[in-house]
Amino acid sequence: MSKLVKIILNRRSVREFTPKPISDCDLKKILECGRNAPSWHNTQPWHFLVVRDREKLMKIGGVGEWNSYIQDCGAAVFGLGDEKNYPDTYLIDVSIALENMCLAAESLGIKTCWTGSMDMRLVRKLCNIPDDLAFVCCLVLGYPFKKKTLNEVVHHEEFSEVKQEC
Amino acid sequence: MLTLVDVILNIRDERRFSRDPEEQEIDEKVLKDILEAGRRAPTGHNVQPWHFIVVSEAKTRKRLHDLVERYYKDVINDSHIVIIGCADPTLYPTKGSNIYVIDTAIALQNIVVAAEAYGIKTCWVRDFSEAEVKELLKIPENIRVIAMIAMGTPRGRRPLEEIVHYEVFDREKAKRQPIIGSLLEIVK
Repeated sequence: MSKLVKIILNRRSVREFTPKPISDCDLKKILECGRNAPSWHNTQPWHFLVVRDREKLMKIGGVGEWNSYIQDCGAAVFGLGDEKNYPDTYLIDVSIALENMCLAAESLGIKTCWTGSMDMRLVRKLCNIPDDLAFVCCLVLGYPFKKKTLNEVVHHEEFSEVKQEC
Repeated sequence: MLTLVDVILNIRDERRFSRDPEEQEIDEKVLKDILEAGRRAPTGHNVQPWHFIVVSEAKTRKRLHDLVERYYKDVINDSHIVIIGCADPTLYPTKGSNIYVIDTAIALQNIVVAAEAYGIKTCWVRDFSEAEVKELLKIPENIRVIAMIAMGTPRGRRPLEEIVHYEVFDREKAKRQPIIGSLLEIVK
């Protein structure tokens, strides 16, 4: 099997991130893959809002039951579509672009999660999103939180307070 | 080394597929990998609302050809396989949610990227009569058709020796089957 196809097959949504920033170079590659997506009649009915500012991410991830992982992510890319002019097609087009970004990120070792569960009224206000652009979905990007090693979490015979990595 | 980013950036909708039957063959294992890429796509609430109809018979493609807008007709005709992406909108916890469109689009783009990684060219087909496609392919009432992905081998450039003449025009070189003209004639 093609190694590149394996990347697609192995993609999993990740919701635990280390706050390690995503480099400008990687972010640009990811966004380029979105920009390059096909769209209905080449209408390119999209805008992508990138949020990396920790203060904003803390606020966005601070509301709602399932959103706290956003506070630790490297970047959140909000996919916005021109619903006014292309009501029948923007949804698919923005989704294609975001999936291109999702796969590009995966290939760069950056994990992702698609989500639309944040409070979009808050995001619109925080980020000055025009009212006539529809929110389609958000791609949360980041480096995965590393699992603790066995040595750190397994105790033999009795509990030892200080576990060190060997 | 070629990366997935290179593959994604290289993707263009292919409008002219090869009509050479030998060039059109898509290996069954490759097709399975491509479909697998669609199956593994993320979905809201992990609902996996999709169904993929794989159409490869020329007879069915000929019927599909009648149901798409004119600029897609050649694409449907000449492609080797058409994958029709459908979804069940009723499976989501939120009534009236449009997530099924997003989810199926994601899966179809996974299929496109996987195909490109195997060197197979694709074209998103978006303009068609949904009701008639549903009737033709016996798709149940509650299932929506989101889009089709046509795939095949691109029609290559004719070799230099076929088109370049030295000193005088070589009429033998001009005796070839026309590329333009409908495959439908051949099917008939």
